[in-house]
Amino acid sequence: MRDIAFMLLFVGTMPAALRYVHAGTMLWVWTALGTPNQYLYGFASDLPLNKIAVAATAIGIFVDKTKRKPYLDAHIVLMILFLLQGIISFSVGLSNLDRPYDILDKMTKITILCVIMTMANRERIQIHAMAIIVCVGMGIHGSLEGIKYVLSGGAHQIEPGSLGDNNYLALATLMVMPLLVYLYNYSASVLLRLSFAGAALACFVGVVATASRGGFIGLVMLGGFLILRSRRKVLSLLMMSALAVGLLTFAPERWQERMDTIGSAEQDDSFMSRVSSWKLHTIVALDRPLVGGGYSPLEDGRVSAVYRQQFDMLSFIPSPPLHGPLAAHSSYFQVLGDLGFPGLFLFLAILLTGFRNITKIRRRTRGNPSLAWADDLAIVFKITLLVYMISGAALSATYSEILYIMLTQISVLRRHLEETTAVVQPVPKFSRHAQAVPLAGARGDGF
Amino acid sequence: MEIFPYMLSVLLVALAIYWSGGNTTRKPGGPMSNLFRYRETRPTASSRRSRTAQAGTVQPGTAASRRP
Repeated sequence: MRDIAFMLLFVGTMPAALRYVHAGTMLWVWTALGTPNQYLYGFASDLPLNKIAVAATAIGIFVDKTKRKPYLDAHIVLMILFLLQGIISFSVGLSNLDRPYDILDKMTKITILCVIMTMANRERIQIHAMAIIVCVGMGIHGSLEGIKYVLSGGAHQIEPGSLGDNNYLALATLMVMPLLVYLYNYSASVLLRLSFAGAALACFVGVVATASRGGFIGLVMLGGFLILRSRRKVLSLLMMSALAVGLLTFAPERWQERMDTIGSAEQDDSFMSRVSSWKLHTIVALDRPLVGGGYSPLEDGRVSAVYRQQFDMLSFIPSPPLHGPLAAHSSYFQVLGDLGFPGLFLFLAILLTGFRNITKIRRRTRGNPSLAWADDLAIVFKITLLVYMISGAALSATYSEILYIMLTQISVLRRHLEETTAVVQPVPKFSRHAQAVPLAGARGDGF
Repeated sequence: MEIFPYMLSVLLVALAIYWSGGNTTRKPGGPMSNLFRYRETRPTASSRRSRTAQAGTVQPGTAASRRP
């Protein structure tokens, strides 16, 4: 029954997806983030919904009458270079598992999606609609976990799904929460505003439900950023305090005990095994500095066994020995081990380009009340990126769709402003003084 | 249990796709369908207060003139 209802809605979106390329990209983004297959159990559970959305978008490119062309900016160029580096590393990769191929397939699709997004989403309405899709697609996972957690009185435990483990779910939910706040602020409909506020609250509980310590650190940071960036700081502080008090009062003892271990990381086996994993990924990168080990080399037990023999190479960092295949547990060390130093450089350049684009957006919106929405959206993206960069340091989330979708949205927003507004030149602080006192050379009394 | 909110989210996605498609040809500042309509300007506490106040008062020019 649920499959039939779902398919009716999914097929119902097809005419719009085929007619408008931006509608196709919205469907594509939603199938990537919403992972509908995991919620279906009948005939639709095995359907390649993402591939259908991709095909609809591809047709939409030719049918769409706006005929906009994609643009190349630093972000897109870096994305393409990052994919090329991935292809090179994959072709000389060490792992014999299917996982590297899956990641390459994912990164290829993400890069193509990002290029098409530059063509499809160029107006505010499309940027706003994409924000809704990202929030609904990714926010639903965190919200559902939050609801289940409350209904079970804190007994609900999250199992790894097609989206990832509890740590990844915490990070992805954290990345969506500032965008939900933006949509709450800018939606005109009261019902919709209440829905977004409720979703943000459910996501907050969802992050708690993951029992992820990285997620908790991210939650604290997110609260701090939101207070700092809020125009009503006292109200925001009171709200955050109420949430914190509610959390400490109602969170189960098991959760509080786990969070208490944050302060004693050096005695914690889980944390120290991460340090060992980071060391081993660095050793792979030092062994193959230009190409790395290909995607996820150390998840192959055969490869990790070879590199464990060189574990003493970085013996000045104390860490316990490792056993069996292992994940990176850090976005930075993951990309370093997978794609070598050029890969790490490109990944950091992509992130920094995002911040640069945000600076450009804010420069354009300065002093223009009609562009306050773009300024607020840029702030939201900045908070999201900061949360990713800090929480992602202890989590393998390099190839996460939501990161690249948000970075491309930043690029699209910058482009939209460049096309619709003139840049406002900053007024020099002492311009009046400079006019009043001409330069010595101008008076003709130079040397 | 989880399927109900999830299906609601699917419905929201379908509506958002049609809303976005339907407003594609809209010019900046032109009318927009109500479904996911967004605020054109930054919402402030004072603007919310003024809207609330306006909702409870008669707008100038709406009452019939008493002049003969």
